[in-house]
Amino acid sequence: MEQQTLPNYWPSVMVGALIIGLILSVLGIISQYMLISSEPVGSSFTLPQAIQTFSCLAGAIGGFFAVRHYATENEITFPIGKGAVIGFFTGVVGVIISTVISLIWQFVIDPELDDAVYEWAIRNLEVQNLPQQQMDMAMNFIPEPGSMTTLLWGIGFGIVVLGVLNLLSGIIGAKVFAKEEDEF
Amino acid sequence: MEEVTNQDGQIELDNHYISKPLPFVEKNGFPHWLMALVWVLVAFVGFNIVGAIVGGIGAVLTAPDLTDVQAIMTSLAENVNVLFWANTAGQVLVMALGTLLIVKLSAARGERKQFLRLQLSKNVWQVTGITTVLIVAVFPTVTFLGWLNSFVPAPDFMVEMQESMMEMITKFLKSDNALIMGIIHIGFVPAICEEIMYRGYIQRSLEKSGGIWMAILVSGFIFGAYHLQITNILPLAFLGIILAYVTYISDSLIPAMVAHLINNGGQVIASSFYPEMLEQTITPETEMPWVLILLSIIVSSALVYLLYRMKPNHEA
Repeated sequence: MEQQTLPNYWPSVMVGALIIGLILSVLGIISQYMLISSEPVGSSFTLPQAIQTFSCLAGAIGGFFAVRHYATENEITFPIGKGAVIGFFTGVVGVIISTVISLIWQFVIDPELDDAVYEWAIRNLEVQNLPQQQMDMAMNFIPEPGSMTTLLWGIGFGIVVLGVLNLLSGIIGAKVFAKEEDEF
Repeated sequence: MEEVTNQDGQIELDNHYISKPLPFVEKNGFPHWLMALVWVLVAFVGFNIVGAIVGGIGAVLTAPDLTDVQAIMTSLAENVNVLFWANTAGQVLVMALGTLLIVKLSAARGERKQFLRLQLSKNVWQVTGITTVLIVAVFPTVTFLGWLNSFVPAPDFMVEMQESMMEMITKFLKSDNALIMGIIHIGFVPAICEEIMYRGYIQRSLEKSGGIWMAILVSGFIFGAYHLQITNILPLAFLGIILAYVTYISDSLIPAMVAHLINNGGQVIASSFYPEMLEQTITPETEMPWVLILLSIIVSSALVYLLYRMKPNHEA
C-alpha cells in the first residue's frame, strides 16, 4: 500500500478549536446571565440550561470545519480515520480554549458571576421544598464557584463529550471533503 | 490450491502474492489509541445502560409497589444481589462480548485471538505461578498507595458515592450464600471480562500506537480511573499496571486473569472470615506497617525483575 505523507493538521485543529471555544464560551456566558436574571421556579431544566445544552451540540461542528479547512487548504484526500483524529483534537483544544475564556471572564471581567449562579441554583432548590435529606444530596451536585475540583471535572467532562462529538463530526467532514477518488 | 504465508506476511497462492485484508481500523486510517479511547468511553456508557436495564428489571420483579419510587429504591437497597447481577450483566455483555465484537474492527480475521492475547504461550504457566506470588507480595505496597491516596482531597459526592458502594458490598457479603456469589460476581466475572477489555483490547491497541511501556502505564491508569473511585485511584492503577506487565511478559491473558481472581476473590474470602475488615477504611491517620511495606517493595521488585527475565526476548 502506497504511503502518503500528510501535511501538519494542527493549524486546522486550531481553527476548529477556536470556533468551538468561542461558541461554548459566548453561549455559556450569555446563558449564565440569563439564568441569574430569571426567577427560580424550581424547575430542573430551564431555558438557559437548554442554551447550554445547545451550545454543547453546536460545539460539535468544530471537527467538521477543521477537517474542511485541512482538506481544502492542502487540497488532499485522506481516510476517515484522519478526520476522526483531527476532530477529536479539535474538541479537546476547543474545551481548553473555552475554559481559558471562561476563567478570564470569571476572574477578571465579572468575578461575581459565578457566585450569583451558585446562589441562583441554591434558591432554585429551595423553592422545590425537598425533604432535607434529598436537599443535602442535591446540594452536593451543585458546582461550588471557583473550586479546582469543579474546574477539573468541567474540563474532563467537556473533553470526553466534545472530543467524541467532534470525532464524529470529523469523520463526517472527511467523508464529505476528503473523499478518496475511485481507483480504476 | 495451496496457500502459504511467506515471511512478509503475504499469502502466496500458486506463486501469486496477494495482500492480507487489512482490518477496518487500518484500512480507514484510524489510530489504534483513538479506538482504545473511544471504546473505553462507549463501554462505560454501555455498561451503565445495561446495568440500569437489568437493575430496572430486578426492581420490577422485587418491588412491592411499582408506583412508589421510594419503595422501589428501598427494595433495591434490600436486594443488593439485584445490583450485583446488573453489574455482572454489564461486564459480560459490554466488557467481554462487546470487546470481542469491537476487536473485529482492529484485527483481521484469524488474528483476533492473538490481538487480544486470548492464547496460551510458551511461558504462560511459569508467569502465572510467579504472578500468583507477586499479587500476594504486593498487597502491603497497594495498602501503602491507598494510604498515600487518602491525602488527595476528593469531592464530597465522589466520597459519598464510594461510601454507598462500600455499604452495598458490605451488605452483599454479609448476606446468605455471600461467599459463592461473591466469588462469582466480584472474583470470576471481573477477572475474565475486565481482563479481556483492559489487558486484551485497550493494552494491545495502545501498544500498537505508542509502544509497550506507554501501553502498560496508560492502560493501568485507565483501569484505575474507570472504577470512579478517586480515593482508590492510585492502588487500582498500580494493580492495573502490574496486570498489564504480566500480560506483556506472558503474551497471554491467563496470568492477569488468575491474579485478578486471586486479588478480588481473596478479599471476598478474607472478608467472609473477618467481616470487621469491611468496616476498615484507610485515612491519613491510619498506622502503616512500614517494615512489611518495605519487605513487600523489595520482594515485589525482585519478582518483577524475575518476570522480566522470563520474557523470551530477554532470555539471552
